[in-house]
Amino acid sequence: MNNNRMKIGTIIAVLVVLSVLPFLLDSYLIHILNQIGIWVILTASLNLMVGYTGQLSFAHVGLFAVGAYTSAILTTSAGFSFWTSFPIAAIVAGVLGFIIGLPVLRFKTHFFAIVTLGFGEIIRLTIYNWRDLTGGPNGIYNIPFPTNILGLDFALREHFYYLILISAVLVVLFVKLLIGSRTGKAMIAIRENENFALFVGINTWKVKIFAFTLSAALAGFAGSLYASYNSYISPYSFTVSESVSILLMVIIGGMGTIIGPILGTTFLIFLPELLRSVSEWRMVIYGGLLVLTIMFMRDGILGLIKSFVRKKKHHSEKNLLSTGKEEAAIAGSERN
Amino acid sequence: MGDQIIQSILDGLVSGSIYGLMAIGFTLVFGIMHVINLAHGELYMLGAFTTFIMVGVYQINFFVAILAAMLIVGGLGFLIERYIFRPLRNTAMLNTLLASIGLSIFISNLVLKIAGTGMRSIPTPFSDKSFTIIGATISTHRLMVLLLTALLVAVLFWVIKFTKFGRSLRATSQDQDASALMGVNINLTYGLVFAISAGMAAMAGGLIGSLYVVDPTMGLGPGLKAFIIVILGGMGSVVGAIVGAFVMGYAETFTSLFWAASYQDLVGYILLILVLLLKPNGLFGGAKR
Amino acid sequence: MLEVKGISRFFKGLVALDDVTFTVKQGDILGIIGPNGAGKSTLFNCITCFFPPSKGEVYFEGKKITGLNPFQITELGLTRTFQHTQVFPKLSVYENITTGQYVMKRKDPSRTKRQLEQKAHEIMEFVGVSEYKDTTAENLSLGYQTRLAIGIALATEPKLFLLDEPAAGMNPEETKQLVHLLREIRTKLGVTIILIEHDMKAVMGLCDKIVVLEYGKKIAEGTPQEIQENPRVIEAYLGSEALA
Repeated sequence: MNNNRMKIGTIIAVLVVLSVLPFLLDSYLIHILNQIGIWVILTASLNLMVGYTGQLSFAHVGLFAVGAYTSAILTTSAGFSFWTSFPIAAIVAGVLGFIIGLPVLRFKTHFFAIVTLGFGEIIRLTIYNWRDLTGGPNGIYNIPFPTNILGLDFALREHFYYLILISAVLVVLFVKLLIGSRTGKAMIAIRENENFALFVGINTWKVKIFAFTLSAALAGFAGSLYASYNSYISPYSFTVSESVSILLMVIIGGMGTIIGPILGTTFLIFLPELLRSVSEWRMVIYGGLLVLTIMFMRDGILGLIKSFVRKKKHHSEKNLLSTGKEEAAIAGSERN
Repeated sequence: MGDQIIQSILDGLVSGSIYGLMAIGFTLVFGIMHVINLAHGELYMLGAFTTFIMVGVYQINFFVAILAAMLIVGGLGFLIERYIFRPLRNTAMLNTLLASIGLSIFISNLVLKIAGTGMRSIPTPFSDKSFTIIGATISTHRLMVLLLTALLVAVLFWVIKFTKFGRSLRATSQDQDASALMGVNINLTYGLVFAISAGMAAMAGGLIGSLYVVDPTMGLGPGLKAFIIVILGGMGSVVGAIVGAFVMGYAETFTSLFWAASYQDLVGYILLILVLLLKPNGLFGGAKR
Repeated sequence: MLEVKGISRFFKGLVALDDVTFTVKQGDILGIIGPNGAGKSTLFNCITCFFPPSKGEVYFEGKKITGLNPFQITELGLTRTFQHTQVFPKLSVYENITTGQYVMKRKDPSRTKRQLEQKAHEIMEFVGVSEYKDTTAENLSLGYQTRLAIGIALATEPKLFLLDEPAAGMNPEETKQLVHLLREIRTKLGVTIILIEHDMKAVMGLCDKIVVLEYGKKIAEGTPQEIQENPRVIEAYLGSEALA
């Protein structure tokens, strides 16, 4: 109970700090935070599939692109405002996710991975080739900012910040509530043991298609924000490299946890900024980090912190606890 | 049009045989070690670069350079198996898949940082002399590529079928534990399989690099295509990989002929999805899903 | 309670199951034995609708279940365990059991959260994993993982329970405890049981009736006594595994 109260306290404190940041930081740092916020939505959506349902999807950057392009086309050519286009972008991406999911979710593990990768590439190549609609390799310019509401001017990064912050907080909260629900439990059961999940009465196929559709819609929503914030998109923003980057963000933070992907996203976007001299080595570092994470740190940063805390606790209670069990638990958390 | 079709048939033959080299290596590693190596395309790229450096910069004989590239990249493959895939053996297959993706991104971007983009091509000793076969032309160069590929595949088949090493390969792919009991050195076998696979990719890279251009990102497409071909042909089947490679080669050449070259890359993925929907175990699949 | 009528299953021209027919009475423990590759697991998969039989039908309490989905038959009161990975490895023991209760919301919506929690604790007690309540399942020993798997299945409150080689990899002491647990499931909970098992001693001691498969065909059916004396069975096992 006490622990819970502390958690809520921490969350409120973090939110308060986050909401006053635009008054404290310079515009460039706000820009980085905005990028982080958008990617947090995308990684939360991917985490739903990879971390909670246990399906390694490479289609998410494609669905992110679909959201971005839907929103961009609606706001530039069709004269929609951001406020009407973002729900449409989410729905279009969700419907496409559903359609892709129908055939794709029959496959498991590496087959699922490669088929989703295939669909992601099909989306990117379609965007690249459908010049009349998407501008092909040139992309779409001059995507308008959201029209002003509540006295906020979204042409200002500091004001856009609040839109992104609220969106990210709502999405993360939504994912958290979903995971705590009956459907969330079913998703985790599928990740843990798909065959056995059937025999505790879970309609695994229905749960998977639901998760995939929902996560596609969230990716589409992130795309819509991305297009409007950056006011320019092109097929080069949605490549396999981006797929690997978001996957790494989820994995390195700690997949299948709420905080993990947020940590991972923040870490990986800040890293090249902190080390300016190496920022152009970004993808080299990401690639290397992915290998190292898989080899040595499969539970991510969060897993590392947890096992560190547990070890500390273990030290202080050394005389009270039977050591064997505790060590087994720690070894287990590093996944054998 | 008729001439163009015959020309495309010859072009498809060349790209199919290059894909074959890639896919056989990929399928060997999968069939024997159950590892999906998405960095396979980067080994192909490294093969092309190694050959380019030796021929272009140090003026070494083309054939010697290809052979040396195969050895160097093969050695690198051996090390990759030893230090990345061996520690991940017996964990979930997705772990090796993810590690190999990381490796792929790492290698291609590293080479990109060091070498930069820019057009490079491997100079070759072949004359521009061409042969005309029923209305289509094929250069000595391309003919050489075909012959070399066929030769390597023949050697590989011979090794698998008739040598002691080939027998231990087949035993290991059947049952890792049992073959270990029978005295097969699993670690060495796996390392060599990976080295052979890497060497074949390097040769494919060297040959393609002499026909077209050498570029740090050249491996991404063929690496993924090798995976698709292997799924098309049935995971772990060498014959399936060869057939799948030609299906892919021809599908691409004819798409580019009848539709547009820019749609060429889409073909593989569409084929993949169709085959998986209609025949989930691949064209020659006896293997598990 | 369960009627298996002429089940056949073909894989690419191979006959994995050939016209297998038998019935199971309410409250019985039925054992299925046979050499490796005899089609025992295939039979299980067909009965539990994990995949459909090529021919034949299965009736559960007079209702045809062939063609249904596994999650639907779980709701009807039929569940199973698998041979190797049997639990939800990254969840705690308690979470494993509550995951097993997933179906209860559809089966008996009147049950309160409180009642379900109570029931989960009873089940942990019953299968003997209470003291590991908060342990991550993958850190349990094999014997306890099997107990937990049985607990998860019991949480669905089945009438018929199929177990695929529960004693695989267990030492004699663990096997003895398992046999005891299965007997209690029958007597105290009134659950009918079908099990595949290689441990002949366990099978002979536990089962009321045994079905013997060889090359996908049923070659014998009867009480343990009858099976042990059946010449056809002795022949099938000769040289491979001796009957205890």
